[in-house]
Amino acid sequence: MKTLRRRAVLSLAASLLLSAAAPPIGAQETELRLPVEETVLDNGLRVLVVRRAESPRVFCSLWWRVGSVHERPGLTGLSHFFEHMMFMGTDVIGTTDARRDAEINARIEDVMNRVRQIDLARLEASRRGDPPDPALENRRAELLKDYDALVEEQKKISIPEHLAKIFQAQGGTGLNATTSYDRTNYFVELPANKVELFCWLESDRFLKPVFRSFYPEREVVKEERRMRTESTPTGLVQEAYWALFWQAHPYGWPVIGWMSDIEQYTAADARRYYETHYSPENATAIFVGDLDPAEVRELCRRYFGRLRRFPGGRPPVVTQEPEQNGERRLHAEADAPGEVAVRWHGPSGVHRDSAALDLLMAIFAGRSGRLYRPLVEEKALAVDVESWYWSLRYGGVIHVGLTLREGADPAAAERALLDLVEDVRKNGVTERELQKARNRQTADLVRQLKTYSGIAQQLGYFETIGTWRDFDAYVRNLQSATAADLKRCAEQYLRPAGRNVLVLRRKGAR
Amino acid sequence: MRALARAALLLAACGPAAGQEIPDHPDRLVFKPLRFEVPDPASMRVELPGGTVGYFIEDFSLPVVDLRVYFPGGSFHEPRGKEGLADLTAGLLRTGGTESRSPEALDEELDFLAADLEIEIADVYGSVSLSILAKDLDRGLEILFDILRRPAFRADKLQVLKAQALDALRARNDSTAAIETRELNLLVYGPEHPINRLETKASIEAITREDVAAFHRQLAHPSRFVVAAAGAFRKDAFAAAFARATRDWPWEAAPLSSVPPPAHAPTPGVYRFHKEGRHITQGRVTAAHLGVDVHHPDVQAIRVMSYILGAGGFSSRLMQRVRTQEGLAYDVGSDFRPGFTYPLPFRISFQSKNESVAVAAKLCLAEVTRLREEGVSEKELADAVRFYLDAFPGLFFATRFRTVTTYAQAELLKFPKDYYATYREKIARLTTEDVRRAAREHLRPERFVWVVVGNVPAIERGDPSRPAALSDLGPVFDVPLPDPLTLERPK
Repeated sequence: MKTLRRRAVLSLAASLLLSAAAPPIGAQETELRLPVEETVLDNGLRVLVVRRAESPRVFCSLWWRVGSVHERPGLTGLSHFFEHMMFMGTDVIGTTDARRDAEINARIEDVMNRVRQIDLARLEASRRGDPPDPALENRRAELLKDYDALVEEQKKISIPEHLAKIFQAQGGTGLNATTSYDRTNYFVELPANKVELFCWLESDRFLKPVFRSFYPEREVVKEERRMRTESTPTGLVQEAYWALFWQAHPYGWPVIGWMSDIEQYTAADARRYYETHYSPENATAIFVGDLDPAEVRELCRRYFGRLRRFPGGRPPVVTQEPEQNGERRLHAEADAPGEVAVRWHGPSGVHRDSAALDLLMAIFAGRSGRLYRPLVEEKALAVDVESWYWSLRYGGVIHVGLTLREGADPAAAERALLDLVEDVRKNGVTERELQKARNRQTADLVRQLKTYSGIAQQLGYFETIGTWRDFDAYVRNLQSATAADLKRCAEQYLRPAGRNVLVLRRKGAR
Repeated sequence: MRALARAALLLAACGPAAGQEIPDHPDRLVFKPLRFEVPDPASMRVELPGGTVGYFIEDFSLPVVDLRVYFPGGSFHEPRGKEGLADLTAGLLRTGGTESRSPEALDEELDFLAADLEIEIADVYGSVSLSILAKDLDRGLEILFDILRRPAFRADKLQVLKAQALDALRARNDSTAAIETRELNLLVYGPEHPINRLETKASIEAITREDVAAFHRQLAHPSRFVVAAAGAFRKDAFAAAFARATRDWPWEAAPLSSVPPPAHAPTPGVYRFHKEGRHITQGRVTAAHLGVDVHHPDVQAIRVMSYILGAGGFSSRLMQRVRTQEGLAYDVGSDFRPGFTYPLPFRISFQSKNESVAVAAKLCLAEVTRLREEGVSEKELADAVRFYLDAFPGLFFATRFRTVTTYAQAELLKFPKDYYATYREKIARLTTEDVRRAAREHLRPERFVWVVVGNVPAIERGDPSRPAALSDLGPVFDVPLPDPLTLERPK
């Protein structure tokens, strides 16, 4: 077995020598070394191992470069739904009788495909404004009775949450997964001697997933959407704001998907999605903890080496967000404090400007930053402010915003906010501000490395937008960015014609 | 349980040798033994002159230091009519400057050092946390004690904080989640318990700079500090610096009252809170009654019982039934954590679409009843016990800073002395009978107060294909939402 293996060191050494003060209590050794052992399996799956000895635990995670950006209208949210499906088991996990289970599953699919045909006919009727066809509705109810009977039968041989039960009974904590625009990550923390358990279960579920309990789980995801988006004060407003921001790019739809799409997924859709995207060259396994890297490497080879590449690769993401040439605005009302926010398009997280933009946003942030004192304390227009740059794989979002003080005029607050942005575009930032932002960004990177999961998150983020080695380039850019770079970025990215403005008023306020 | 474990071992022994092939089931995996000794608190405990107790661990793996100074006293000790004082005191300590540093200079200095200095005053205790690069630790400590000893409490900053606090009050009825938490506490503990002395517009406006200063003096005294610290420092130098910083404290320690036991007997039933809004497609439900505190002898039996019922994440019974099998909720579970200084509630919570709220509630209730009547299986017990034994280091000692905060909190809140030392053995010796008894004694569905928040008419319409009504759970009461600023309810 041919394996590419490298050992490298993430170093923040230079960046931590910030000032020359020499006090006696704290350590003066500021060099941080974080050794990453990298292995690339023959099938393209990357393995990263970081050894740390805080506790006899290991954070195990598998990062797939698969997210909502890979979906299309009609199948929005499928990446997230697929993530849920991965907890439903395989022919070993989740059932006491795999053969019988497969038979029932096939029959369920058959029944639900018929239901789907009726649903499509319903949609067609509603397009014409026609009432539902009673014969079809009766047929649908009959089919759902068949479906219920099949589900009851399947329950007799199913082991609900089998995967979780095994992990937890071995001391696993925090078992979960998250889906985002560019990636899906699966993770659990285990006792340090049980890495093999992760390798077994994790490779098994991506080797031969069974889309069991598909339709109850569709209901679970609908509940998740109701919980996170619909029934919260501003969930729907934020969703609309996000959709306004992206005109062409597939980032524009919500990760959880539109409700009407969630209602129509089929197991065949999930299967096709799996065969298109879940090919091992799109994955990175990351282990952090009290472990032996050589042993983990060997386990990964044995277990994850089983995953086969799907031929042909997958379609690249080619859609580019067109340059925005005019301000867009969203006016909304909600049972929530008023808000004013402005967003601009930014570059990918691996772009050479990404560090400078992080620094620029740090200069706006915090109580000693550009926004807080004028907006909250002096003009009393806001109760809080925020600024951030969220960099994704194919682009980024630059955000400044404020929470309106009760009774404050949103138009005045927006003007004051934009004046502060324009001031930086015109006059730039001071050296002291730049150094302060650099200190903050660097120290926050170090703080992320305090926990096993924090280290994995950091590496996983860079593996999502590029490779973990881009971390080094990012840190170098943090150190070398000049005040002139920041001014140039402000001019280039924070253009008036590129603004996307949200004005949210409290419902019932004048 | 023992027999089962032995069978599993035998199976494992028959399986393939580790490191060669892939066994056909994960139950056949064999793991090297892993021993974990509970970290010895005495090895990190330091008593400083003046009464401060410290838990310190040196750790040079990263060039940072994390520390947290805990002190007893919190919102439960606010004078009547001054509700909200604890939060304003914490906020003004942080933002109000010191005798020698303006608020602006303080923020600028901390931000330049990339230090995080946070002050929080909760219900019965508070803390000051500092995270700082090790090379700046001296300055960080100097600033921290400048704030604690010589705060300026600038009046203009108090006005800003009050405006922020009033706007936070206005948001009180915005989310169904916020309504649920507040109303549950009111129903379970009754309006007289200190947990329910809630701030109003009047109480916030009544708070003066002098109130803040007096409250600060009452709470902040080194004779009651417990400090947790881990990071790149030398222990003895750190202890000495701390002793210097707390020497000649400018005021005497004032006594703190103790927390009265809850004396309220709630009326069981279903309390409906209607929240207006077409977008509210889901109802939030919690059923609760008072539980126990950490000194109760059944704590570990209750813990394991609760894990199996609904606190054990995906593997819990409530999750399997309500979510995985029925698709009625995304999030469902129970919580039966012991309170530190007063009993916390046992509770079951979920969110479900309006039409299935009552169905899901009845399923939850059925699981409680089943647990009381049937108890748990040997396998469920064995899995839960092994979870706690194996996850133990991750639960309380995941990092060095977590280790010192675990012990500092135990000292501050006067946990039983052997709480962590005997944690695992008390769980390891539980039997199914212990768990069943804990369920019968401590799960009391007849006492449940059900809080239901959402679109009440839509919830009551229900799902014709699965008939169920909230009234199946007990007598139903409608409670109007209070005015967010005065907390007065319309008649």
